[in-house]
Amino acid sequence: MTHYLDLGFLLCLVVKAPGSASAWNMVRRLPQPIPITAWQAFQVEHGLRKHMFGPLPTQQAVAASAWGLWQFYLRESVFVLVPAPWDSAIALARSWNERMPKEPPASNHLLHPAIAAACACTHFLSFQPESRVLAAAAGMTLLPAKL
Amino acid sequence: MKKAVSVAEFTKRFGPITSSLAAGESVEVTSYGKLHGRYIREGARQRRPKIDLGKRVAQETYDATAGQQLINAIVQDS
Repeated sequence: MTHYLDLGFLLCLVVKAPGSASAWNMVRRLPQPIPITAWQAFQVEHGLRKHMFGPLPTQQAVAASAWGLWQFYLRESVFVLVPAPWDSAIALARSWNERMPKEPPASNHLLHPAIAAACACTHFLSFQPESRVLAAAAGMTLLPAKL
Repeated sequence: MKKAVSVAEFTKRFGPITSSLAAGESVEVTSYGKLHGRYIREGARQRRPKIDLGKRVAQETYDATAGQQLINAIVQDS
């Protein structure tokens, strides 16, 4: 696993958004299949299922469509599940949290770059500024290079 | 193409039956109604066409703004 795609980036691949085209342009250049951890998959799936059964009809429809696309990519092995060193990842997220001199970001924004670092990823694909700062500090190359 | 043929039909119509099979496809050969064996056409199985990554999401009919709202909501919830 060399490239880590965070939650927002993964969602951009299955939900049509302004960033979807550029996200796919980056992903097309990566070796296939794309390894993801169970946590990434769970977060995408939980988020989509939550909104499929949520109160807003528009979001229900978008989430249902994205769910179908996500299942398609899993079936076609575009994404494959790989194990991750969870204890190291969480320990790293905890240490970042403790060393943060200001209000820390949401736990998810700490955890994604920590998992990527624990997996020895070289690239971090994210549109999330807080996570990108941590990933860059951990020595990973950011994609896209600029937001 | 039938997936099962009798021994008699298989021997009599070997050419048409086997040449209609794609590489890796098979036909069951039955004798007195029971499976006697399976004939598999030689050759590598045809590869599935490569997926055009990103094409399907681009073809979605909903507005990209609605998609972004969903992404924001999921990321914020997580």
